[in-house]
Amino acid sequence: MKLKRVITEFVAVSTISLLPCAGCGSKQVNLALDYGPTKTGLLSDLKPAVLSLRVADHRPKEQRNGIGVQRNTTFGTERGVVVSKTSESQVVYNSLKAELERSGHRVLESGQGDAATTIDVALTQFFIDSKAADSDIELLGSIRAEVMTPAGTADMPSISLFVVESAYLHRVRMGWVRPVALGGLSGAFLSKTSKRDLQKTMNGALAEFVRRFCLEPKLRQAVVRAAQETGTQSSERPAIKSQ
Amino acid sequence: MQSRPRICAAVGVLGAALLLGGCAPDSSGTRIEPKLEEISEIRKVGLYVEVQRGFAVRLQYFSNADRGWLEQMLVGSLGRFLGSALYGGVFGVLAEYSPDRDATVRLKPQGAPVDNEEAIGSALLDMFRTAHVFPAGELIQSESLALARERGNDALFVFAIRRWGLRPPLGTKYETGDKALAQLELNVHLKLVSSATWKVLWERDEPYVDSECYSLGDFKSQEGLLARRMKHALQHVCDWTASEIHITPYRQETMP
Repeated sequence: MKLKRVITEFVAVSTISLLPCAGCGSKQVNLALDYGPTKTGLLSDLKPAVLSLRVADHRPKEQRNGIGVQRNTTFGTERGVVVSKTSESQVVYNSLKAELERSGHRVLESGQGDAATTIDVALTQFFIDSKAADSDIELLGSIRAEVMTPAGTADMPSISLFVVESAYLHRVRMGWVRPVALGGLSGAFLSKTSKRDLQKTMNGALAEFVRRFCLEPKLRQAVVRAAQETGTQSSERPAIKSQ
Repeated sequence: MQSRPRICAAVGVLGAALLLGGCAPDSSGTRIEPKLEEISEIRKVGLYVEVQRGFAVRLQYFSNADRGWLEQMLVGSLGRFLGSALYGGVFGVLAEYSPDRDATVRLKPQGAPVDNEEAIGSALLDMFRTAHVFPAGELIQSESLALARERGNDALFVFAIRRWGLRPPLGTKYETGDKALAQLELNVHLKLVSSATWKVLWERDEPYVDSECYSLGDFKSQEGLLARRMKHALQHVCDWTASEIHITPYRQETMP
């Protein structure tokens, strides 16, 4: 009788403890994404300009519910939908603004003040993907946007359209080092991506995106042009006399 | 009493195994920021291309989400749990995402024009010339800095393809056969080393995922599609290289 009770309890506990592993305990994973600007600013070599920055979300509807799924890779089950605490377009706006301001430029929201140049950013992808690769889990964060800036000369104005894309790969090591006997069990319990891994990957993709945005020659031309126009505007504007 | 040290030793081994196996992440991005002052002095560069792992189609992806709940519970999760326990975690992982050897063999001839060091090197040199990345350059067959210097090169640019091939598009589920969607992926390790001082002037790991998505059938039926996408990927990496090492704001950060 005692043995039967022990077996029953063991089976019950095992089944309950397996359920979360099997994906029944799936939940939403909230990522706090942020960007720390570089020390001196990636555009600090250019003359200060006043810019207007607009970021719009142009992703397909089905991609707006979440930025990816967290997978329990050894089992292959989805553990939860990954979402960003702040809206993705706001995250991108804040990051670009922080880097431009660190570089000494003034960033205005659209409709606020009279900026010489408006930079339009249409976000088309903001995604994190997890795939098993060999014995590891590979997380790939990817951000893509179409950017529109004024170009040409004052006499012949035109629009410059270019794509900025970034990918950040973070490999979460899982396998070979572990001894087989221990590795089996530890692999079964540990081979899932943590929130920290997901956050690191997406923040990495964000940093790469800002870097690529600032290094893009067409964007730099637009900032140079804005700096010239800002200088012209300020010299044309009559000085306000202090009362 | 004698069993206490044994228990301690066992716990220690278990802890060490978990630590060794569970951690040690690896990420892409810049390893060494560009030393622009020294880079600006380069007049001629030796380009060494290395394909570390050849073309592979990594589309064999199975997700438990594609299975019914009963199958998922019994075959998927429980089976994989036992499989993982028995085979050191490798079983479950390999079952999920591994190279599709049939597709790789079928598409290999199409990848041939860009699947060798010489073809990639020539294409890159043309791109470097057009984008004015370096004033002059030549393809060299060895990673030896002494050889690069002997041939009059100020620096050696190592372009190592760690992996290239087709992968499932971001966030999609795998479909079988020719309907399976695929994107070109390219993982490159870039390193610029001075041949005079042997100092690394810039180092970066660059992952690239093509923005265009095709079916596996398209890659099979459209002659030259794979080569075109690969050239497109190389052009992107070349443009990014030009942006990274030719723009000056880093100078302030990299200078001591």
